[in-house]
Amino acid sequence: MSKQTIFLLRDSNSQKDNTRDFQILFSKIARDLNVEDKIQIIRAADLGIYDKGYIVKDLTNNIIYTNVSEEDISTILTSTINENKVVENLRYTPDKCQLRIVLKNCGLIDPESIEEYLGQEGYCGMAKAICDMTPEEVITEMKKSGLRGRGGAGFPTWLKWSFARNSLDEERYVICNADEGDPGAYMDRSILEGDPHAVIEGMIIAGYAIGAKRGFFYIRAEYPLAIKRIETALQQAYDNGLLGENILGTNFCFDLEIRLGAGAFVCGEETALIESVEGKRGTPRSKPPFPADKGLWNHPTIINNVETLATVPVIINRGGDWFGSIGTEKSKGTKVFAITGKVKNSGLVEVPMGITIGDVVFGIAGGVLGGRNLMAVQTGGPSGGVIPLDKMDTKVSYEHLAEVGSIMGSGGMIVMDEDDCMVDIPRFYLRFCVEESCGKCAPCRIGGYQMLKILDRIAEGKGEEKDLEQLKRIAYGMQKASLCALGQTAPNPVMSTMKYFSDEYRQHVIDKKCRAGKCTKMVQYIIDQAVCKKCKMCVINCAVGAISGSRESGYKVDQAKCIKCGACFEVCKFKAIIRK
Amino acid sequence: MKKLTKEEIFNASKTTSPEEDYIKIGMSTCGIAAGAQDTYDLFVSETQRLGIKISIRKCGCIGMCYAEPLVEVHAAGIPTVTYGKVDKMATMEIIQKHLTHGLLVDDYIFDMPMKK
Repeated sequence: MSKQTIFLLRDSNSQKDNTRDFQILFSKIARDLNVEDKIQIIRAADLGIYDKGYIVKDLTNNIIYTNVSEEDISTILTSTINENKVVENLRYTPDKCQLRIVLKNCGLIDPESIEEYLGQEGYCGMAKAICDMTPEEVITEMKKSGLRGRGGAGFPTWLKWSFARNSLDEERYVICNADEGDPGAYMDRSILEGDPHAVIEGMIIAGYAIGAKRGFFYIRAEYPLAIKRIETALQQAYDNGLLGENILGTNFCFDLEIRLGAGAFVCGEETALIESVEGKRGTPRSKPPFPADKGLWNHPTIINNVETLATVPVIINRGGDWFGSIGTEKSKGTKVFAITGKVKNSGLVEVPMGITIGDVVFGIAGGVLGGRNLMAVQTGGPSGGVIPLDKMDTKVSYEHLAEVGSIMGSGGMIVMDEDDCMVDIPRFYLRFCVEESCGKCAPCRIGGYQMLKILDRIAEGKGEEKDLEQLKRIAYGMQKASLCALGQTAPNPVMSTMKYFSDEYRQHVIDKKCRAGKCTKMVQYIIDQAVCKKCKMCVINCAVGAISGSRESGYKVDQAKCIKCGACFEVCKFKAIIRK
Repeated sequence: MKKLTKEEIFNASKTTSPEEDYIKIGMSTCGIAAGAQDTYDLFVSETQRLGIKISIRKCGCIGMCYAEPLVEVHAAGIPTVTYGKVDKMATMEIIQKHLTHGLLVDDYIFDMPMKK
């Protein structure tokens, strides 16, 4: 088989997909030019570039052309095949793309094989740290890198480590926080499942840096595959002498164990997590003393998130200065986001800090599903806030997100379109926090419940104007007086939606209307007889049989039976169903 | 088992073995939920039945959850590509076209720009 040039084709227009027609045209021109034996013309499903017209990718030479018109095809074909040249004026170089540091091995290596991990510079960082560096040097390197905790709060990792290092207590512990509970976030699971050795290596380095002899994985029991892969990886590490006594012939000894969490959201909070590891009920302790001072069994303990620990080996291996060169002034490196919601390409993306939210949502994730309009992006899960459309140029970094009233959080990013109700969304998050509240402190236990009751009332159309003030008062109390971050941050989604979408709240309270039709108690579906074509689509699609009538007499919605699901509204081609 | 030494760790990533042909299937929870296990089983049984010699490996999540199950195919002579939404039909097409004749398969290729 002679060497062929392969062209991938794709119509990046979001409205209509004409890739098939384009392929036919391309093949025809190739036939006319008599080059069809030398090429393969393939339709691609996705090339990661959107709204740039027809895209042609020369896969063999890895060159992308965008906005290709019919006349350009022959130019591309002749210059590529006959002259081996690149058509510069059509060439496109993607600038807003992912940068994979933490996820570099995910999807590349077999997570159950230590050999493949070793082949990707695995355990090099560890070997470098424990053989050639003192613990202080490791912490200095971490300081240079500027890595901040990826669990959400963004506390400098090196500082946490040096607190534990400088403690007088000789018995110290390392805990990996793999209790990922935010709705819609799963980057920790993917790292544990895709690259378990990186997390183990990070823990060994952390243990060496602070002078710990034991470490624990705290993984939620809902992640059975992650647990299995960590178990396998731990066994392999022990077998190869990377854990246990006198690692790599040095004096350093380190043991790792797994502790399973039963899936309580509050156990992601570090002091509650410590209680849970100790075998007690998972409720937070009051801080200070911080865990780095008095943690597990009252000994100094550092608790780091999975993503933080997975970043550590790369930093030690390639140097803190290299890592510090990526990102913004105060937020270094990359961040993994789990993009979900009404977005075209949901999934995991790893982007350098400093890229804008808009670039992530529109550039990398392909924009909103079905070409609808974006309403807001929610970051940080139940502790975060929403970022409205006009703030899409906000940069991804701890300080910039805090400025607009949201947080980085662990990395959930939920895209919402115009069909989402900005009262319903915070209600969902608040309900989650109320259900997950451990009940130890009153502000969180009572405050959350009362806020939820008010929101329920607003959603039912029974809200009053004074409720909005009351929400703010309770939120303030919770933020100031709750024991742990769960209660302190639980009002955030409500507060940030009230800030950016106050019109929508007022509409609910004063006009008793829900724009998106999500607050079902306020919505009525009525058939407009003048527009109705009697096609019966609504009758067929009504799951509860609430629409009755005949072609002659017309169709009607029985409001008593209607469950306000909106199915009839969606299927009506003639817009004869009115939502009130 | 033999304990690794520092030198062995550093040398492990330097010794590059010649790349053999492979198929990699994303087998994290997300992939398995989307049907990667069935795809994996089908690849194994079909390549055996047809006598195609290729190593079939498992790997973690690449991150393109909307396109699971994901299959990366590396065969000599053509660039490595990632296929997405690989169901039974796509599996058969990949085996027949890509593995047997060195032709890529229409409509399943997901090619994302990415820096490493």
